[in-house]
Amino acid sequence: MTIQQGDTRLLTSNGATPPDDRVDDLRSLAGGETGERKRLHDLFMQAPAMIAILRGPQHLFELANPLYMQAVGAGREIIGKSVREALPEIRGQGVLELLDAVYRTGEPYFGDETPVHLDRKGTGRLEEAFFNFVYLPDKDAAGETQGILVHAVDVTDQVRARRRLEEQNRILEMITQGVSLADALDFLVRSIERQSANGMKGSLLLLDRDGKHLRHGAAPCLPAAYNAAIDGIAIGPNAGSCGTAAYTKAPVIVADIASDPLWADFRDLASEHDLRSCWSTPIFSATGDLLGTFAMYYNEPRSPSEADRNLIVFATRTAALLIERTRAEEAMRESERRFRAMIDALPAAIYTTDAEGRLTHFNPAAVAFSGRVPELGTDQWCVTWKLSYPDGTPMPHDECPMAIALKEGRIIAGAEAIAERPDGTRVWFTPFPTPLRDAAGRIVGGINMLVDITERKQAEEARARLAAIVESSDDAIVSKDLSGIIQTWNKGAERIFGYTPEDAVGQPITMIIPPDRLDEEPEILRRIRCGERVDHFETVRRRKDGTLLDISLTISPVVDSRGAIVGASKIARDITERRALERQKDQFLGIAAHELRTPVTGIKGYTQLLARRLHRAGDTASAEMLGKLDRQIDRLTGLIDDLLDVARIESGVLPFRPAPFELNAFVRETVEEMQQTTERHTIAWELAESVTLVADRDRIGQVLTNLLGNAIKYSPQADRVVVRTTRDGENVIVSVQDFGIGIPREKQAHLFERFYRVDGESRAGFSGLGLGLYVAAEFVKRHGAAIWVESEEGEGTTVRFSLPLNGLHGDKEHEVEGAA
Amino acid sequence: MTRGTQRILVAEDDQVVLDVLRLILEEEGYAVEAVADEATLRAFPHGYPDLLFLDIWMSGWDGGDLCRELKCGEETREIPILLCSANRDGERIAREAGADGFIAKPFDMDDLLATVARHLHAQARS
Repeated sequence: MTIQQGDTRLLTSNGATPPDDRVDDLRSLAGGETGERKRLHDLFMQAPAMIAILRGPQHLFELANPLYMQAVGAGREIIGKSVREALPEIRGQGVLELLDAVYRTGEPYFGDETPVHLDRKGTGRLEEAFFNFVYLPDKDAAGETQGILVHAVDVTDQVRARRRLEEQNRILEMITQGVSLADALDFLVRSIERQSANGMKGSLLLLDRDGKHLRHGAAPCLPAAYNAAIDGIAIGPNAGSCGTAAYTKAPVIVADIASDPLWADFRDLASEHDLRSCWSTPIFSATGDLLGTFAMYYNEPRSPSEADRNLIVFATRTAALLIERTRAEEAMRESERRFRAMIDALPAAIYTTDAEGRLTHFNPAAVAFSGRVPELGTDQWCVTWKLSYPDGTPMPHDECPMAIALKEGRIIAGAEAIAERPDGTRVWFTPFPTPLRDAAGRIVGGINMLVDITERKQAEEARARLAAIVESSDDAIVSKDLSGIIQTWNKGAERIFGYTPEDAVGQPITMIIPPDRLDEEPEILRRIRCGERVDHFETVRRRKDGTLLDISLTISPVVDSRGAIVGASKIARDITERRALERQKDQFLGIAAHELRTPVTGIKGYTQLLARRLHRAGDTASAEMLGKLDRQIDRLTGLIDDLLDVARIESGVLPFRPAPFELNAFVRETVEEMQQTTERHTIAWELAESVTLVADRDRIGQVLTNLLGNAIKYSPQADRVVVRTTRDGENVIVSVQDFGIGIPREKQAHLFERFYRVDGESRAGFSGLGLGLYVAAEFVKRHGAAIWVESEEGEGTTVRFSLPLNGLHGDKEHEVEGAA
Repeated sequence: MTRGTQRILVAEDDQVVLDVLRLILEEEGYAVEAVADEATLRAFPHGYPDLLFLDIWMSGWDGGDLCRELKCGEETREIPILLCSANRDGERIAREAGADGFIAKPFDMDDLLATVARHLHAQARS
């Protein structure tokens, strides 16, 4: 209670402004004699505020207008009585003391929403009312206080409404402070009971999820047994006050339970707990859905007053807000839980922070990403351990994109950074920091997603490296689609063919194919479409200036990500120079062969001539010595031949001249020649039906000669070598078997390597360069065929080589002869 | 020159080989006449020989080409020609040039004499 002297603004606002200019006139209003006084009296009586005039130190009521009478209790006799006598219940409420003070000091008093408890009906029951009022001293001409003008406005309804609103807010706040719905409802019911203050017992029931039953909500003053009994009752047209109210969605006022048919089923229960009346009102959500009921019970038959109805409205509205807000909170919590669950399930590293960038949440992917478990509330700006810019310079955490996003309040897009884990591994990533704002637009936190782009970066780097390699390659690297249209064209292609990428891309590849070789392209494209590679295809292409060049082409299918063939990449190497070099080497080797063999020819000729002369002269011993010399010359010749062949194989200039020949005749001829080199061994042949091969007869002859030479050489104790031919599907197999020293199993794999010689004691005394089988194998390979060996140490060796029948012609004419 | 009737013309530019060939053939009784250049050979100043022994690869001239040419000539095609070479592909060249035989260097004296005798006899029969 405060004294607010001269605060006219407040007076205006609280509606208790006294008509200052008429105070003097009002002093004598009680007399009501003159016309002016009559007019003032009428005004006084009809004024929209409570007005009373008190006289003397006893505060005798001189006058009270109807509103004043209504406020203090219309039936009372107060005029002429002192305040103390007229309103005995106000003793002890401070009112009398205030009046005394005003009378004594002559100072007015302003009261604001001051509660006064009045016994309006004379029943002894006090009702609380609130008033804005002013006590104005009424002074005579000498300035002595003669009485007090009371001017008041009843603000009980406003105060109650505001207090209820405050109460409501307090209750609703409980929800946001984490109080459970049950506790909040309990608090609400108690608050209503307190406000009602007439023995009312409140009961709040909640509609079950099934919409057909009511569940106990809050009823702190009803007996627990009763609450238990009605928990779960089915709603229906005759289900007591609450069940019926829920069913009909309308208030059900049962003033006397004992006589009301709605209570037929629950009458005994109610009577058991001495409940006599029950007024139930459905509680609706903002959208009109039934949430439950609020009921007022009394232990006496009773009908609701206006105040009760107001309280019921307050109770149901508050309960509705409470329930809805709780559900919204729950929904929010659930939504947040789901949101976090979703974040946690996402494969990208995600974290949230408060407005200062301190971590509030992070998902498991963030742990994997950063290689550490971040500390909530401590770690700031980022979950990572160390950061650096793409160029490798260190990036302080408070300069990271998330920090910038939060400090500057903007979304950062397209940034890249490198995170280093405690274990030293690095992740290249793109962050997506976004500030989070509240409804007012203030930044309340941030969310950031870190997308690992390491693979993409590595792929980009690899691609860039590859592109650089392609671009800087000396070879022409060209890609074309399946219809032969050029897609890419590198510097090498420009240099080799003379066309710039601008000239070439989009043009058909046939632009570099000479007219007489145009038929190659459809065949190449056919093979590419089948997914085949074309390897080292040597051909001729045409430059922009029309000149021709030798090239070696390797063409591979290009497949898209789904594995479909979409084109071809083609590497063309200019082999014009290589061709020239090959011709030079070939020429050189030809000269070398000639130059090496020519002196040997002389040596051999003289040796043999001399041997014949000595023989004729009877010097047999000397002739035989020269015979030995002659055989050494043959060995030397053989070695020269092998070396020259190897040189040609190595430099790729081995001429290869396939021509048809008849296999069996060829074998017999070769065997007969080799038979002359050995006296100990008999070379036998077992031949299948003959075929006409298309192969380089000389080279295959060398192969067979080499194999027979080895067979003889490595079977010094044996007397037999067998040559066989067999047909095996699409191949002819020629084998040479000896019964000599054999080859250890572990050495067999190396037999066809250049310069390889099987060592070991049993080998001592067998000379050679280790070139024979290598040369033989190379010759066989040149025919697209295979050579392999089977051997057992001490039992002998069989070397077989196959020759493919494609390019071989079966020749029936030789069948009889071959079978012989 | 015991078998003066059988005359062998030898074109071989390596002197050592020519010398040994001459010795081998003369000891067998053949009359050996060496020619040192293509023009002389083409002129056949002493008439056509019974056998022509031609090295394929000689400085300045090609025995293979000459063989092919002689084998096309109306009068010369009957002359038996043996081509000789230190190169492996000589045999193929000889075949393609229409030579009657091929001798690979280094040669075996007995093989050489057998081949020479065979072609002389063949020539004598025809």
